[in-house]
Amino acid sequence: MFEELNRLAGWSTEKLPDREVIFITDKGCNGTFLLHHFIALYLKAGQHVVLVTVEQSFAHYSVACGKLGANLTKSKTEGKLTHVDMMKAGLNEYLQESSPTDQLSKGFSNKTLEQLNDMIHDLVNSVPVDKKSIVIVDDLSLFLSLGFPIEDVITFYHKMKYITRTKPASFLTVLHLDGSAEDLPTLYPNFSYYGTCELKLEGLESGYSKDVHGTLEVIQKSMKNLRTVFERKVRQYKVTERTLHLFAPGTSKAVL
Amino acid sequence: MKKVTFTKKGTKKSGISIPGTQPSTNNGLLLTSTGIPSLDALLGGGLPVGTVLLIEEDHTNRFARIVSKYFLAEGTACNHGIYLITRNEKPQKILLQLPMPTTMEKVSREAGSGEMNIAIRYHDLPKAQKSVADVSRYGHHFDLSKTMDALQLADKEVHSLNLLETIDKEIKDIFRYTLQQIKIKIDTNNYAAPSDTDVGNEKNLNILRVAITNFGSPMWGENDSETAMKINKFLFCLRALARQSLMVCCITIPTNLYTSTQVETFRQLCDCSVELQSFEGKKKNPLYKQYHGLLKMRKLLCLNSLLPYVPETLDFAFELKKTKFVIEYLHLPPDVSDTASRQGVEEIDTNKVSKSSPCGGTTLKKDLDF
Repeated sequence: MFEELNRLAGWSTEKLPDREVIFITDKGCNGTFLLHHFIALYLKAGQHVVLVTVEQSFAHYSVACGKLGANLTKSKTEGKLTHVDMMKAGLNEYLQESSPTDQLSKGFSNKTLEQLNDMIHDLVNSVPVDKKSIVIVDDLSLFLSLGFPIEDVITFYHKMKYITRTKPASFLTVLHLDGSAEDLPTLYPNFSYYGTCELKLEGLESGYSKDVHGTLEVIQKSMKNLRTVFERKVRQYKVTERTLHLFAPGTSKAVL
Repeated sequence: MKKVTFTKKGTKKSGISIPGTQPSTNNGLLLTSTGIPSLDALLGGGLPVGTVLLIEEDHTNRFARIVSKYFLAEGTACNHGIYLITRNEKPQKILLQLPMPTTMEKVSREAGSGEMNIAIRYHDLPKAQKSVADVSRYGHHFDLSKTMDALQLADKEVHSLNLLETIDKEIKDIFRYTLQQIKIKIDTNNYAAPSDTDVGNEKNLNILRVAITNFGSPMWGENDSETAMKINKFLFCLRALARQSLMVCCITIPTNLYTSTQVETFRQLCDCSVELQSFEGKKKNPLYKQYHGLLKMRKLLCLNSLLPYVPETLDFAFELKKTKFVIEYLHLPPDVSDTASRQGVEEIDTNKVSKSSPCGGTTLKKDLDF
């Protein structure tokens, strides 16, 4: 888990994100490393994680989080982590479907997101009442690239928000802004409307640099005096093997 | 080397040994060579088993084809199973042109002798590395002038799928059909990843190398967003299939036929992406005299870790020699002024171009004297 990120956003193993809808957006870089941080954070705090993998296999998370000090296989056997493998589900559906009808645009069935939603609901309900949980969906924007209509994706996101209202659970997902789906630009405002915290990652405009991988902005939404307040904190970041370094823009060690 | 314990099905394998592969030191991945030792070095040692490599074709497809041939030839040299899928031509055309492996030569370090005295101030600086790979530990070098004939291929596991034959059959979705065929091949020839209970059966394991050439060309479908969507689904499911079996895929796509955002999505759906830009038919920048083209890493392989293996730079140039496919770092020209940086390359270019203009037009920049 990334200490510096925790300090920036005000999280810790004692003070986990509470009923938050967190979404990670990235443009010009890849922000999936932040998922490992959250998995490790919750597991270290002894809380529950529901991990829905779409983009990578479970082993990838297992090994990567192992570097952060969280043992995923052990947590899985203990029941603290539940894994939903969408890659396998999607593959099975794709291979079996030999429908004679011209359903060309549906590799998955229409019901996939609904079924996923129900499954997540059941899993979160089965978590003991005093424990917090986080539902992590690998990559929601990938569903758009796979042909799901944008309404389904937004409905799913909305239902996840509903879960955070009714249970002590948070929701986390990643949205890649470099994709090709035409509907992608409309997805972002919808996410940010329902979201309570955005981790916005942007690659450097000047291109790839070894010392500074990009800018990370933490935008936290809260209600103060009946007004919605956005708290923004901007840092530049560098990812290393085991941790994330954050520093004020322009103050990278390589520059100073 | 730390031995990572055997992990569950659908994962990277480690603790098993298959000829032609080696475990990576820090990620618990099983790596295999792409057939080009320089490319292996750019990937951090090799291509992990269970991943999909995307080659974005150069406009004439000459070099992407060669990369596919190297990939398959490496498979035969290591006794892996190979499976070639084509729709533009008969697979036999490629299979009968696979280069023959030369004997493994260790790259000798020519600068080892102390004959040259380098200036004292440069003594302690590391030697500039021109070529990317020094010693290939497990790859092969191939001789493009010699090909393996059918006899030599006879005792190897060579499979192919000729999608040209299916044009007459009524197949609604060629992509789905292809994936089904791959799955059938995996199941019938036992390339599926072993589950936990099968640990003792290690000696029967082998890797299937799947190469798909000219994927997404007009033969596969019109180059519109619908085909792009089908390609997305195919790539997604191919990757899912690769993760749960002992398969490694090399796909070449003519990406100049698709929009840049579509190509970006293709890259996202593959594990690693390399773009080839050849100089054929174009006026060559004199800086690139000895090279045949540029190679750009468009997506870095990031598996089992927080950040990908990043080579020293992301811009390379390649040169196709008879016995080697050499990839070298692109060096910047020496610093001559305060503002020299990437612009140094451009400045030289415009100078030379303006010099050769018939009117002898005046240049706004001073001649750079090297």
